[in-house]
Amino acid sequence: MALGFNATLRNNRADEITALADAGAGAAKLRIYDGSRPATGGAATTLLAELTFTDPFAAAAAAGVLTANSITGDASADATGTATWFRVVDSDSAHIMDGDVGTSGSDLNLNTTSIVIGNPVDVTSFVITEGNP
Amino acid sequence: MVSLKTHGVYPEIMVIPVKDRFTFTARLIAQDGAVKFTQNGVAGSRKEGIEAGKALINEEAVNHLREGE
Repeated sequence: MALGFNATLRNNRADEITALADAGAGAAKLRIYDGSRPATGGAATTLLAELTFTDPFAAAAAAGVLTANSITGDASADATGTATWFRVVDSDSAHIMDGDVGTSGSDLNLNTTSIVIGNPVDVTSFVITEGNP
Repeated sequence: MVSLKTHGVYPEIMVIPVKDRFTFTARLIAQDGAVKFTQNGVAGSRKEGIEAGKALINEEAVNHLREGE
């Protein structure tokens, strides 16, 4: 059986993501890349698109679930490629988290991972569920 | 921070807590993933690491733009 955390601990862990995302003067960014995902915080691969979170990043987590506020899409993708991973950074480009990109069952699911330069890229929701209840 | 995206490079700052201090890595990454600049350092707090990283990147970015790369 997996570890189980109480709701306060899960909420605090989730809210720390918000604290880091809002650490810069502006809104955090969601960067989407192709290629092999590096070690967490490692040098990035080809940047396909950069989307912008809202500042503040999210309301306080509830029941261990953190739901990001609206995300402004990238109106014009930076490059053509297959999206494989993402990185969240604050407005100073300080690293917060990395995750996998796919079309289902991934950390970030897109309707297609085929990104085409100049085309829009949107993410409709970004929800993080912290720990195990 | 200098706006770099239109010049084909963008910054990354990684700050990692190590015991009682924070190590940081400041990078300038080309849009294709090539690392144009990287430098490591140590700071007393995460915020100081980010600020130090920003300063390094800004300094390098000015040189980068000046050289017209």
